[in-house]
Amino acid sequence: MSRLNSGLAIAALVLLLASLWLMSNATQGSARFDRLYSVLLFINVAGLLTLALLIGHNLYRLLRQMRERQAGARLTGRITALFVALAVTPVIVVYAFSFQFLSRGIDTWFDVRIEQALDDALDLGRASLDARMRDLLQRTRLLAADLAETRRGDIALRLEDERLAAEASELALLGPQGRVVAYSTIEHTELVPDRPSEAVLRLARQTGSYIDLDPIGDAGLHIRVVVHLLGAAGEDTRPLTELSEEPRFLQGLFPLAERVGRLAESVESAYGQYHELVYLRTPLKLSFILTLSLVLLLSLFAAVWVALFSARRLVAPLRDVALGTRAVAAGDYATRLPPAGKEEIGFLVASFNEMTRELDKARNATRKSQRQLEEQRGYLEAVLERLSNGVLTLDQQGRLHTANQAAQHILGISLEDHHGHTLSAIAARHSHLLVLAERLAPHLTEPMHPGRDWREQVSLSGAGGKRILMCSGARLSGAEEPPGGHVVVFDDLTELVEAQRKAAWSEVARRLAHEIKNPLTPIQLSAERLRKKYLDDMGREEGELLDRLTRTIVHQVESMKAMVNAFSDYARTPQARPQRLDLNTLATDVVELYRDERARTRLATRLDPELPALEADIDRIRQVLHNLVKNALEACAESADACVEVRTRRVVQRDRCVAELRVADTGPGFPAHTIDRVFDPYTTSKSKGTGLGLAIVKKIVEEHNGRVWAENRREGGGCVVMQFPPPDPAAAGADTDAPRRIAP
Amino acid sequence: MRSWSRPDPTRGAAAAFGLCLFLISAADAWCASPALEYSVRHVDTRLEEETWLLDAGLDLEPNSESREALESGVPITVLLEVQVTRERVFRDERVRNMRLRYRIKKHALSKRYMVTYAASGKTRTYGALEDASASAGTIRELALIRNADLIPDHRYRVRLRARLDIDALPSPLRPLAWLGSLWRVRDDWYSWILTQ
Repeated sequence: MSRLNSGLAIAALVLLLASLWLMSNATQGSARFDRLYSVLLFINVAGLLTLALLIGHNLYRLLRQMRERQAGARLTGRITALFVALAVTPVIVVYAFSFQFLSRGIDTWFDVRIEQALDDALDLGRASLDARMRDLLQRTRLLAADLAETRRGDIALRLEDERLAAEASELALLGPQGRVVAYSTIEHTELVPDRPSEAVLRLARQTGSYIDLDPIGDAGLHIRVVVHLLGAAGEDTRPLTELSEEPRFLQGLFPLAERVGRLAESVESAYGQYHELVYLRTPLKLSFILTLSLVLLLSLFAAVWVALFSARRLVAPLRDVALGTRAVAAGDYATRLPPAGKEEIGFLVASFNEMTRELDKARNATRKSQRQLEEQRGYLEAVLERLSNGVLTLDQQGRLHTANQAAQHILGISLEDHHGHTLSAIAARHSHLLVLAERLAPHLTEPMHPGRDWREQVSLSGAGGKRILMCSGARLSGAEEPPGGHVVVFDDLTELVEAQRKAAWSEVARRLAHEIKNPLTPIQLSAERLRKKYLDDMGREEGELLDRLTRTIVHQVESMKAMVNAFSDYARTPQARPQRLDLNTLATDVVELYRDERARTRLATRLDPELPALEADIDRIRQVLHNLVKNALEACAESADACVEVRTRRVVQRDRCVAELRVADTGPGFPAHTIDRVFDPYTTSKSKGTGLGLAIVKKIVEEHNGRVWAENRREGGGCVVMQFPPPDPAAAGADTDAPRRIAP
Repeated sequence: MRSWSRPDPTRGAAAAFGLCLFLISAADAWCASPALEYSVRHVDTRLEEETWLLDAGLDLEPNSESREALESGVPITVLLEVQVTRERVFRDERVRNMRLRYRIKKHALSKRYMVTYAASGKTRTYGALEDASASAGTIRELALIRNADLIPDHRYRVRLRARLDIDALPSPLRPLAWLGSLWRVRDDWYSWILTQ
């Protein structure tokens, strides 16, 4: 495209030059181009104006690029200015000298002496012709006199004879108004002779004759003689109709002798041309100067245009390099510059392309390894997210870097907002983590070698009850020194410990049932036989003693049987019958059973209508409620303002809704030292009871995948909190009536 | 927000100077007499043998510059333009356009003015410029248009003017003739209705 534009511009310049050359020829009087002069001048002026506009546009664009500090613009401007200065200076000098030479050269064409010589030559020519003219006048007058005496019938012949005799080209008799009466001419093809003008006739009429030089068309210079015929023609011997009117003038046209005529024409021509040149002196100067100025302007414009064009071509590769460098700085390593020849700039461009190619390769390799790293990282994150173990990574200063979902779940807080915080800072906001922070602090601060592990069991007590965590950690190895960061992995052993404890208790219960219950029946039977055999044979006092003792043995054995049965029940896992359960309805039913108008303990319920439904064994949950309400009533029996409150509410935990059931009382609350063990069997502060009530509660809740913990209320009194998860959507479509075992 | 700067006083002065120059040159051109003044002495259009013929006599009056050029041997060309137009609402339709060129040149040796009719090349000479001008300004029996070519019930107008042919001047004179006032060309028409 650029090459096409350049070609067009060069063609336009060549055309303009050709046009100027033609105009120059026309200015110098070339007949071939004289008629085209106006067109050529217009074409040249229009072409120059167009060129000026184009150059102006280019210069304006260049200035704008310089103002905008575009790459290469300033260098283009400088090179253009240099080229223009180099080109314009000699052109201006040549123009100035040409102007001078032209003005003075044209002036030297004209000289007073030449003018005078030409005037003299003209006068000489006239003078040399005067004698001949006088002679011809005299001869014509004589002829006119002769014709006056010639008979009209002979006039034509006489005219012919006299024309031949006088070597005239034409003799004619004219009427009063100049109409031809008779004539004789050398040009027999001419039908009508050359008539004199009215002014000539008028002069001839006034003075009797007229004689002067007369240039007659192509025939050249002639002497025209007109003589007024004073008298009438001679005796009319022929009919008047042969002459249309009375002749009044005799006209003769006499050519000059060939040599004289040629000389006269030469003098005339030289004189005319010289005087024309004199008259055109100033316009000629202006015309030449105009042509010269047009040539100058064309040269200037062409120089400026070539300068602009060359500067752009020179600077283009450098500008490309600058732009390419910017692109590379902006991260675009795919930039390749067009080849710029085999010179130094071309070598520079080739080097640049090689550099960007290598950079591109390196960047692609980096990207590839980065992508692999990202994939590995994503893989690791996915694995971490799906781990049931909590994983924390900490930096060199012990500040939290990453934490997986399980860690947040186990710790019971959201760690999203704690990135960059130390464990101590996090524990300051979440008090149940204080123990964790204290126990881990030594491992995080003491100098350790990378890769050496540590383990620590930590028990946390919080709103969700007691949790037992097994923490392990290691210092991370890093490329930089000192090696950076720690990784802490912890596992929630609470359920495992609970399960172990539950299994232990179950084993105890089974052994108790087996080892204790079996001897009880023989003991009871033996006591009854003792009583039956010996009671009747004993005296009254001894009999009463035996009766009391055996009764005591039997009662105690029955009591032990009941205790062992209860313990056995605790160890036994019954078949569960889960069904959709409205906890609010169940709570209301149970509370109403214990409501007694005369009792001093007040029973209150606060039930959340938004409580989600449960999928649970209604009998087992009812047993839970019975145990808890009964416990609560017993706990606050001694209180002044005794009150038992059963409360349900909907709690959102980690994007799921759980049903919470709280049974609170205004009693003395749980002793601080046993609050973590209140759900263990035989942990009771009451004088009566099996000590299995809360243990059974915990067992049933956990059978329903729920959580239970005990807490003391700020306003006094204890509270047992249970949370039940929502029904499993996958199991919702299953046959809920079919009995199934709830996972322990 | 757009800010307004005070106008540059030098720019205003330059503009005023340029305007003055333009007005002066325009007034100069308006006041100067045209290179060839003309007046119509008589016109006559008549229908002969189904052809409209024109006879006209124009008084041609070259101005001083033209006379000086003639006396210096520079030929001048008189251009007589005759047009027949059909009247229309907006712009008349040009039906015929004729140009008659007469070249006038002074013969130095004989001191006579040669009038050459360009179409035929025929030359006549006159002792006085007035006679030569009268000859160049005379039109005899110029066939304008055939009567059959005229549309009935339409008005036709004949237009006539005489002016100097600038393109026939010597080339050095032409730029001056275009740009200067001395060779101003009168371009108004003398017109009349062609009576059918």
